[in-house]
Amino acid sequence: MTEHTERPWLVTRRSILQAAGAGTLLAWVVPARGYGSAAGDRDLLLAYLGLDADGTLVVTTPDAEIGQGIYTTHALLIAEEIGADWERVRVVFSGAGEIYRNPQKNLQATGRSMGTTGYFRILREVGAMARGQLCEAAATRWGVPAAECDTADHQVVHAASGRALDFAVLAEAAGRIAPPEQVTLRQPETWRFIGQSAPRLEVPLHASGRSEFTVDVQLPGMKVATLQACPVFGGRLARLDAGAAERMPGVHSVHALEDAVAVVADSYWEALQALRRVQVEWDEGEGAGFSSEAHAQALRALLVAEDVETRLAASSGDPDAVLAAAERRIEGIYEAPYLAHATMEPMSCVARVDNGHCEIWSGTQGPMHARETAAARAGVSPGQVSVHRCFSGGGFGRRWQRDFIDRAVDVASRVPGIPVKLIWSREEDIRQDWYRPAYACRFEGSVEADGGIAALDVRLAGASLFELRRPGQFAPRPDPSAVAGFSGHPYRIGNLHIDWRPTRTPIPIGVWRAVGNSQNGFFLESIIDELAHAAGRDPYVFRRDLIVDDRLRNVLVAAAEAGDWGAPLPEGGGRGIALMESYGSIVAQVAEVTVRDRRLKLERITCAIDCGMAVHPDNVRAQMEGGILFGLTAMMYGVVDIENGRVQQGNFSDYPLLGLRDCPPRIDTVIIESGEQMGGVGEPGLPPAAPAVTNAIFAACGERIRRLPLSRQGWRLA
Amino acid sequence: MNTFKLTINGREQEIEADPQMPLLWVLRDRLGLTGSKFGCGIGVCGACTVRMDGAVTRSCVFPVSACVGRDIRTIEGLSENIDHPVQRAWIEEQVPQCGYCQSGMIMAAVALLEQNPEPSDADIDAAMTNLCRCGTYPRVRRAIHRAAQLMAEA
Repeated sequence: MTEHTERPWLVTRRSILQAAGAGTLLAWVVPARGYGSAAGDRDLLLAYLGLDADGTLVVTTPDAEIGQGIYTTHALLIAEEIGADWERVRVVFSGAGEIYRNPQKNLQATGRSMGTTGYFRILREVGAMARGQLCEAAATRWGVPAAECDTADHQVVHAASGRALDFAVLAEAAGRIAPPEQVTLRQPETWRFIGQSAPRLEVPLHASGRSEFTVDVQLPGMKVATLQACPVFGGRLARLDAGAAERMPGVHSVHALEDAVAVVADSYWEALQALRRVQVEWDEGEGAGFSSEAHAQALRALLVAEDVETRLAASSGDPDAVLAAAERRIEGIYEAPYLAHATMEPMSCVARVDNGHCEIWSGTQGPMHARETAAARAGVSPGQVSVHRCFSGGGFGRRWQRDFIDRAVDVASRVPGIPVKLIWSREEDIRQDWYRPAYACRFEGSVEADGGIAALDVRLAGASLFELRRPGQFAPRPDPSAVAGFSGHPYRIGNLHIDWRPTRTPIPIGVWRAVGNSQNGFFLESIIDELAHAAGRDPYVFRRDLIVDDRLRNVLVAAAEAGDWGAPLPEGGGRGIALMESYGSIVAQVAEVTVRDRRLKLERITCAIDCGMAVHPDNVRAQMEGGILFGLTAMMYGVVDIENGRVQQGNFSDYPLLGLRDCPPRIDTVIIESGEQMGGVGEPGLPPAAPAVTNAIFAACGERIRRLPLSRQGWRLA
Repeated sequence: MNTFKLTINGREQEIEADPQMPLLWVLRDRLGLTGSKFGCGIGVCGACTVRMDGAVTRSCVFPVSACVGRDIRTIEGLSENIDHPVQRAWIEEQVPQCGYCQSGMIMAAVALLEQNPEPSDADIDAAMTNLCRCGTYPRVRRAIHRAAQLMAEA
């Protein structure tokens, strides 16, 4: 059941106020600078919206703006209900606080593609409460029943008498009125923002260089710092000689941290020059023995090992017997490497620690745990930490971690009273990441005479992401991220076995856009493609006939039709298709490529998405484009090698991204408005991208890609 | 430390810095002009792109001592009201996602269009070497074509 088909539209707001910790009187004429954390816990309405003296609607977003457009989406949800003029809306970032929790996960955190779905209801309710107050203020002034008033274009209007008053005029009086006991949400037929594509509010800021990222924060007396951490994970700083560095121009101080050295200076560049002159010795510890190549070998061994821990994800029929009896079995091993996030803005955080207080400025994806970790590092209570949030120069899960906050607070604690902007070099950013874990997958399958899948045995091996803190937490079931996409696969397979074999790694691993779906989409949709070809069937038709659920089938069909599946191709051309459901949305993609001598030309990608309802269709398209290119960068180039415990890559020169010239000339997105439950859009565009292309490569030249990235298999972009 | 007189967005400014200090850090940490971004520090990603005597320059690897007497233009000097044709096209096509690479991307596009008022897709692909992690490339292409139109109409 979707939110927008729910009845009745009347909701009580009691639940909201209880959640908010209650507060009654609303004085929501906000100061010109808007408000953030200071007013955050007074009550929900004040937390999320206000009106400037000139009537500008100020919306506070609790989420990080990491490129997913939530800055605009949250504003439009409130604008819809309050009846705003889009030209008179601006957005500020909230601080950290319980009041900003995403109701879907009971945490203020940006991730799992839940920024729209999670706040969809609460922000509209808040907007409707404010509308009620404005209507009542106008009704009192006019001597008419409030029920006869409505809002539109930043005015309260009384249709019967043709009167109208601007929000700016009513703001103060409205703010003194107790919010309505009940609110009525606007009917979908009357929506003016939801489902439309209002110009995104962050765009002019980004197009003028005026958006403030963490690295752009400027404070009186501020210093800039950079650091180098032990290049081996888990290592320690053993010895430091900072004499020469400390005497360099512009240098304020050099600091030994537990496992890193940091230089504080007048500018980033001066800090960096001094850092290069610091003499350090590391106690590298056990991590120095780690090699990603050996780890990959160990994963392959796990796939066929007996007597190892296996956790069952899916099981039906008797795949062993069917495979044993099969005339022809196909099998293969798939592999995906460690990956870095490589956000365009390197890790950074500004911190000031003084007299039992700590302030941080950050594009964090987890404001609440940022507050916690800053408090712990600074030795103050969480109540003494202020979190100021900035635009994030990319997130992709990297800014969910706490390390960049910890490091900044550690340095700032050593120079009390001085605000320190800690910026990591690109090399540190790549070498001190929380990597997408390497995974391996083995499959064995057979097909039926009539063209279905007779049996399939899949084994996955890799380290657990979600059991990092509590090993065995999900046992006997698998870590959901390890089997994402496989556990809820869409196909009719009578005899099936899917298991996961957990392993450990000393390498920090973390959530990376689409998480387990990022590699499992490649594994699953390549395997299905192999089975289709083994059955001698068209891979699109094969999938279409085996998909159990109509909603998923519709998405596949939409992609195939829009992508001209079956149309003639030039010499060397091929088409591939892939389908993946993740984060509540279903995405199918058709890739068209041309291949010659292992030179790949990406000609065209066609994408179909069913996210239930598209709140901002143009942004859905943008997220599909972004997810696809993120996935294709990983497919083509993405690999982090670790030797002697050290990450070998360090910058865009050896950890390359797709460039504009590599981008397919056409990426088209079809949005299917199914009216089903709403899903996310930030991540679901990624998982089908790589397999759609590698399946297209197979169609074009018969080479099956089972290991990523392509650049390691002798492939180049044409 | 030496003293340098720089002309930035038509305004002369005096700063003190080591001659080897890259222009990017002079702009950001000495002058508070933070529109040009730090992405890689080795001149690869283009987030730091500015124009020097019209030419596209990766300011993270360009020493301040080589900037004297040159006409330095940054995103801050492009327009007061975000209405340069390239910015208008960027807004029309809703290009940015996280936004971090976009100042550099826009400065590179402005330079391209001044040299080549009607660039083909191939011209755009060849000229625009800035990296974007979010995947705004399809819209960058469209916005450059749109900006070319807007400039032709002006």
